[in-house]
Amino acid sequence: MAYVKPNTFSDGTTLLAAEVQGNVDALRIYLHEGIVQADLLNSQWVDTRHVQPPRFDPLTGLQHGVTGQQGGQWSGAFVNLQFSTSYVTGNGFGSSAGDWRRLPNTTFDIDVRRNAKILMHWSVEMEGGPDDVPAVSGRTPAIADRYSYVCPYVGTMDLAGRNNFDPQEIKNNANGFRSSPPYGPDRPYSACNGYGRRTGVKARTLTAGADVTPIGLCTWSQIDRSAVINWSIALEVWYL
Amino acid sequence: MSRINRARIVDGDDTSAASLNDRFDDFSQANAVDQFNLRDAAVDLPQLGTGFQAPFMQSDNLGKSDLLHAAPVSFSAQGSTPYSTPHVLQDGSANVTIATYTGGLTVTPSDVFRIYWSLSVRADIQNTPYRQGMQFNTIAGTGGGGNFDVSTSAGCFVAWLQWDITDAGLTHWTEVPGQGDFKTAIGSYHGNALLNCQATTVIPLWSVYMRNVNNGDSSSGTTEEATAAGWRGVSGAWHYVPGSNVTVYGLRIVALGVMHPRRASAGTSNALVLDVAPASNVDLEYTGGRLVTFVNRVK
Repeated sequence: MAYVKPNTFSDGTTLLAAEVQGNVDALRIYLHEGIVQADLLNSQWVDTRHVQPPRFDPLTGLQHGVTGQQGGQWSGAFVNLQFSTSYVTGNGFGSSAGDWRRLPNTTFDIDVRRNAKILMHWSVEMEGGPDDVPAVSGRTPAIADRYSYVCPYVGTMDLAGRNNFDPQEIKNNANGFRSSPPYGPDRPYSACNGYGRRTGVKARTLTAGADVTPIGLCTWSQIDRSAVINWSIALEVWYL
Repeated sequence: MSRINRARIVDGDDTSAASLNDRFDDFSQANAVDQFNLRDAAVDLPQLGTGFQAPFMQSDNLGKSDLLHAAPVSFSAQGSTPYSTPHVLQDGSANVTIATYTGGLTVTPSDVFRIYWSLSVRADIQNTPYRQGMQFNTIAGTGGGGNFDVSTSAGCFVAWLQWDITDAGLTHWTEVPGQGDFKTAIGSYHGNALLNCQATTVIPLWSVYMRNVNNGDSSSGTTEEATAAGWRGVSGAWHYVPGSNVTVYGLRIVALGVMHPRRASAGTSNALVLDVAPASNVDLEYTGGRLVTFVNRVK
């Protein structure tokens, strides 16, 4: 039943401790077991995300529903090689929109339970090419001008979730293959030629929703095949 | 009226019957158990607490949005030392790209000021700048190949962080703590000891190496090869806990080159120094990047 104070006080009368205590005792009982439906605000004001505990996913190393560092993934102690390839993305020549695809394994699905600030830290170590397939005017860039791009995205890979200020490039190892032993790339993979480690930080504000939000890395390549030989992603979620 | 929103009794308040009654009657109102007096205080989870630990975040564009490098921003290497002013990143239309904070962003000793940046860059070189002022290693030749001088490939540009903590006029840019301005005399050069490069990103310019070597020796058919750095992303980070309150009005990235490392002699520190010798043959191009500002409160 609803709370009704047992004692009402009046000016000019003696204030008795027992009466005050009686009201407090009645209140204690009410708060423990007496709240009835009519006492509650008649609209939804507690959502699932308010009462469910944080959740930890051991497969992805990701926590949901905790402020601060949420988790990370990396290429691991065993080979977890990934690829960026124009066979999947299309070369996108002449179009800044590109044709972006998720970089496998490098995505979190985060269950954001309240509006939050997020920081996604990422790194990739990549070898690009060699891709010495002759260029086709209007379709593929010149061999020396081919790049694989890596870019963080939040939610979607269109420009609502990805931004053209964020991508970082790896250059094609542009001189092709040797035609005599030892076979392989004609030029070494150096920091200036076909090899590189790239790192970045993506900052976004997320709005809590009913569904999870994917946050990860996507790629777009003008090179026929590039190996992502190491990678890592880490996520911080700070509730607003 | 929200029940728990009633002010506490403090010294000087009158104790009246009405006041006392109201404090109990607060619990008698229909529909008044709500998010304010129950959820936020009791049901909600403290790990979802509001904004205490991360009070500020901002992401700013750097440079120019030009994914395919169609018309990148370009600037030349410095031709005099010590230099006058570094290059401030801009959008290609002579507009600088910096981070500003409306009214100033106050960072306290209880905060960690976290800055991250990135930029896509490319070395634009002509002729042989790697032979101008750069260090060489001599590889002994056998088999008729002769000796080869191979550059250490250590020529680079640097990009670093400056802030304005004076006023919103943004005319008082200085290096952030831990970062020097590369104007300190070091031998016959000017630069920074590495200790003063704590907000610096190094941008490689080229690779020089021998091709067709024979078990490490140059021989007939060995050639010197040079590759300019193609487009690549570079990035940096800087964290700072001030000793007293600091109000930051702006942050920006500036760039300078051509630099090369200088090995320490006894009693000195390793350093990055400005080398003007290759200046006429080196430009740096860039397109887009990001500057992320994040403040964490830690105590």
